[in-house]
Amino acid sequence: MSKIKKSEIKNKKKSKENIGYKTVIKTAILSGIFFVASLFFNGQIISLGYFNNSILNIVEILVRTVIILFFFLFLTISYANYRDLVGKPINWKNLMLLFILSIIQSILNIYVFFLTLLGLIFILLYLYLIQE
Amino acid sequence: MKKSTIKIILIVLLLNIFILSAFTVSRAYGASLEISPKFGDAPIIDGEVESDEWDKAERYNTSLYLGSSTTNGLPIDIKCIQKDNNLYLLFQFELIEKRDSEFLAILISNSTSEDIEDFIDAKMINISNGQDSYNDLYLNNSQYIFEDDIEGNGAGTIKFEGFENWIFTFEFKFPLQSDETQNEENDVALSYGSSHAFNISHGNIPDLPNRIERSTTIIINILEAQKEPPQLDFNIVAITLTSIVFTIIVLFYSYYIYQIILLKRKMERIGY
Repeated sequence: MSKIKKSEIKNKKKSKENIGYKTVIKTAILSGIFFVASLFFNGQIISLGYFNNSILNIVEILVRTVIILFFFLFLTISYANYRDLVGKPINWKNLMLLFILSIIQSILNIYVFFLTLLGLIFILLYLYLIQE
Repeated sequence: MKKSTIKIILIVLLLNIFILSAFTVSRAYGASLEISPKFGDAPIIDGEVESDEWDKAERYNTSLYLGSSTTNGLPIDIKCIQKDNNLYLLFQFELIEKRDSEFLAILISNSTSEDIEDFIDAKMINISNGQDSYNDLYLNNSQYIFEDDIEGNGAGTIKFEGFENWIFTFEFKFPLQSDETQNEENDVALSYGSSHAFNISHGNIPDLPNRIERSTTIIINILEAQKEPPQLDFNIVAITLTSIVFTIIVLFYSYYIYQIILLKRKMERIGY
């Protein structure tokens, strides 16, 4: 193989890994943002329950659930890319750790907990099927 | 000293003792029993003893005595329960005969004093022709005067059991004085942790104190208010759980960011 081709392959690999690294950073930041949002909503610092309105309560439950699901999704993408960069693909143990870190954010509300559980199972199934 | 002088001194001394004793010893009931209530569930005051409603109370036994005698009394069972702001008392005794009218009155002293004049309050259940009625009374010039009837604080029944005896059952409820409750104007204030003399009087014509046939006095030591076990504060639990959970996640996240920074340095070292 010529030196030019080798150099091209190396550059492509570099570029790919740089993109991978940027994805790790971006998704980690996004998961961090959703984590802060989760701290406010699921840590009950911000609550719409004061208005005593059932529609707002439902909206709050959905917002809390969606925040946790996005946290899980972005952290999973970030961590999977990170593991890819270090040469060790993400495994079920890592996914379970992320799963637990996500689900424990919803322990203060039983509805959020079950909705999050369903959402996380759905995302895991989706990732499993896509990866296969 | 002459014999006559000694006799005179003795007579004067005896006279002194007799005169002084007449002034110092007041008329009083004598307490036959001292009881302490038990905390338990509130019984229904209906004159009927259900299977387990008085089970938590200790059973005390004393006697109702005729007049001033202290022998051959009529045995009476007493049970006492304290629940929330009330004191509940159950009295049961047996008689071979039953008259058209029977009453059981509880005279309440304002302290442990058994002096007749200190029993300023009275509650009475009168059973006449099978119908029971509850009355609140108060002492006025050595006579007990009827106050307005209060429903629900006393009930009684007389039942024929065992082919021989009539069972007399009387249930009373006495409100205890607390910051939240207010006693009736002429009632003795039964407060937590205090002791009071209760005179149990039985007769057939409801006229106190003239028509009391049998009676006895007991002392009841009212317990201090039952303290509720401290409730778990959900807010504190929630804040603690949130703090723990989010701290754990922050630690993991920080470690992950640190690993990303290390990876960046590694990549720079190898020329990426």
